Amino acid sequence: MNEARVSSSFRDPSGFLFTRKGVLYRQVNQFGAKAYDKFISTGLYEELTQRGWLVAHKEVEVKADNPEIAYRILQPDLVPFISYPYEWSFSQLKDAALLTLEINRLALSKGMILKDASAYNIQFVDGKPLLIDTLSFDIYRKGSAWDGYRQFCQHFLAPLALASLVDVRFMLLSKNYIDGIPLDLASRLLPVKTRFGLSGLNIHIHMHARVQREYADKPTIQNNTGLLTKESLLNMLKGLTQTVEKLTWQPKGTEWGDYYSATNYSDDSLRLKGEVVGSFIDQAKPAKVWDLGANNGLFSREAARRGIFTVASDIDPAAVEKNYLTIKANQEKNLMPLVMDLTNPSPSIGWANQERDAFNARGPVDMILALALIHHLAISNNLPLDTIADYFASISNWAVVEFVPKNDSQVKRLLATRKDIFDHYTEEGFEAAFSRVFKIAAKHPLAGSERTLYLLKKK
Amino acid sequence: MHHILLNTRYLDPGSGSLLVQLIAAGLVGGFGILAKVFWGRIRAFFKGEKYEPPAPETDDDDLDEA
Repeated sequence: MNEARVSSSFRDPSGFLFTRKGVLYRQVNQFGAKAYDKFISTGLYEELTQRGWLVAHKEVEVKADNPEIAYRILQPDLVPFISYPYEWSFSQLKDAALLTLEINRLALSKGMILKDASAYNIQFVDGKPLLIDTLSFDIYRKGSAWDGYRQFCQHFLAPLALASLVDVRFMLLSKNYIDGIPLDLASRLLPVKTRFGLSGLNIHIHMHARVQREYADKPTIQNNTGLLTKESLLNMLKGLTQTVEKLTWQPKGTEWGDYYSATNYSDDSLRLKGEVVGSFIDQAKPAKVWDLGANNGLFSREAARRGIFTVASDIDPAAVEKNYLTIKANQEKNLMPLVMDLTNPSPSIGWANQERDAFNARGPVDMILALALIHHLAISNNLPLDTIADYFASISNWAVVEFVPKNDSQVKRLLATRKDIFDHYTEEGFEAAFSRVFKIAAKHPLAGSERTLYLLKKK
Repeated sequence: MHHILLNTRYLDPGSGSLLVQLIAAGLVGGFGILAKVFWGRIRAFFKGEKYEPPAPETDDDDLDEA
């Protein structure tokens, strides 16, 4: 398709995203013209982009499809990989929440306000959150409240509170509720201790849920002006920031959080494995890499430090959290940590199943890394090797795959409690399965183990 | 109707959510507005009238220019 409106871009009449000949544009409609002009003329746009808080764009002379409603056409910088809040680790969502509040405060200082607070408007580039919706700004009217408040509580505060105070797996609940966690549900799930006094969670979740229920069908406040002074609004935003900041989560106690320190990999063999992976990357020269089962991103960095954009996905929220915190602390570039269960990757969701893309739909990619992964797919998840090979070939041109044989201690552990029904799980079986769709470009046994690294090129 | 052109809000902020914002802001800021809203309600209740929310403090075109 040569030209298309981006299917998730329909909510805001101020404008929309479209692609033409593979280039992404944002149209500003006449409807949003005044707000857009003020956004530029007050210097808000410049300050936001200088701080690295908002995606930069240039105004371009491109013909609009519907010139009668068009005001400007913008060409925004591209984000290398679109991710969604249900794929973020705890601190990613928390940083996205704090950025949203910071941006709103800065906007208010320029006489503008965020008109929404969608977590889907935030993306991550080089380990930092970034607002990608240039049209999220409206002219602040004296005395008005924040239209995005409810959305903020649903998209950010509720999942963060549930993850922090109940169970980190509640982060995944956003996949089911595209407009954020219903506050009555969050209220029922949060511990009783959050219900007392004037705590942020009591007000913004519990009381919010109660009042919502009470006023569900009563248009009590028709006119959102004259209600709040700007000072009170800023105070409320400060209160929200403090509430979010207090929510914490320690990445431990999950399956893989301490993987490398818990396994008997020696430093030498890890280094050797890194060197082989690096040489395979140099051989294939991919532009983009997805490291599947990346744990804390140890080997993802072989690609990232070569300047290659790399998605480091893992099922374990603790490993992804550690990866994100490391990227943030060291200001590392080209890495995108992602929580993803490869045996059940993110589906496409939303209206007509077209608002948020499935994981696979965000490919294909030049190279995948599947290190110490195949035994989990083949043995823990009973996936035939043929099926794994077909899937890898469907998303990538190159694959770096580590084959972990049955006599490896990790595989022995997986087989310890179950019947071995995996007759074809051998090096020969692996090569036969993958040779159907890939050519074996290189093969390297890992010294000090029974494992072998393969560089595979799609046929 | 002037403000419709100036204001591009598209989300329904929700009556309940607006009220909670007032409460939250009241707890960290002044209680004045909140008291006004509730006093209006209470008075309307005893007079048996329909409650009318307080009028906006500003005209539509009286925007807060920073």
